Amino acid sequence: MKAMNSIFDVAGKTPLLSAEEEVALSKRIEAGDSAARDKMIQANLRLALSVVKKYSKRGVDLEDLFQESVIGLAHAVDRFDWKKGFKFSTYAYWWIQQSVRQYLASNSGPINLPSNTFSKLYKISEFEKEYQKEFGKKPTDAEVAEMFGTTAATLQSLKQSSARTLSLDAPAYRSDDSGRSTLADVIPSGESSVEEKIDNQRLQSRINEVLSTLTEREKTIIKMRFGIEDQEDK
Amino acid sequence: MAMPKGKKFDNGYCSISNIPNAKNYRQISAECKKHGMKIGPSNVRNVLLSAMHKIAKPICEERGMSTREEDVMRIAKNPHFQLSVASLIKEID
Repeated sequence: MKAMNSIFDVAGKTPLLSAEEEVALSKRIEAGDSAARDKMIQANLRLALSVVKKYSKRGVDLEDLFQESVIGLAHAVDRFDWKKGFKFSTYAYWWIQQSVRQYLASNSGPINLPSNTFSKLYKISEFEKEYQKEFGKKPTDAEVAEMFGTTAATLQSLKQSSARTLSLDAPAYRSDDSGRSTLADVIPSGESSVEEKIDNQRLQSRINEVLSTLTEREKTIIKMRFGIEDQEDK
Repeated sequence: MAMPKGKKFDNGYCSISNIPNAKNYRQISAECKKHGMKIGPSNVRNVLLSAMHKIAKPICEERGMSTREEDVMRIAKNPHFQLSVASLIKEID
């Protein structure tokens, strides 16, 4: 966190560049002036920070995310063409964002998603937010799938693949400092209890008894209705 | 006249299109006729529902659920219940 604070300090103290200054610096960078390059990067750290802030709640280290954003910024500085007449920030924003998103795609969980999948998931989540704002409810999977030209099943698997994973050894409660109760302790077992097993066995034998009292006609009709006989014939 | 929409399920009709080799009441009736058992489609449904009712009743008793006629019949008409019974019969056979 200390490192982040000093970054905030440096970024806050460096004055922003005017359009003319940007052009002048770009010309110097073109000529191979590395000091001008550093100055350009330093003057735009605030832009990199603003992008990092946008993606800060994705479960990755903030400092690493900032480093990636600076890599994107440096890339933008190297490729910026001042002759086109745009402001540097307009151009750099997309490079920083791309760099940050790519980093998130490969580091936001134990399952590494391809960056195009990650960007699709991002678009889906943005669409869902917008939809909720406009209509006051979440869109259904079918609606989202239609919007993105995919099937509900594909969408479901996309969402599942991006789900966060938790360790079973993680503390079950935030307030539990002792760390005694882990998730493994509190998650109910899928196995049924002895009472349940006995209960089910009793029910099963009762059903079997009743099934044996069915007439041949009743059995035949049930079998035909649910395609049991046909399957056996085959 | 066709049955009003939303009422079919209440009268023992449900979709069987996703069950392989399953037959509707009309097909069962035709099949039975072929084998010399004369039975109309409505009667096929009645026989099926009465069989399901026979099975549902002891389950309701066992589970401490209401054994009122209409409650048992509602369970007997439930497609999920019917499918479970069918799979049990398949297992026993």
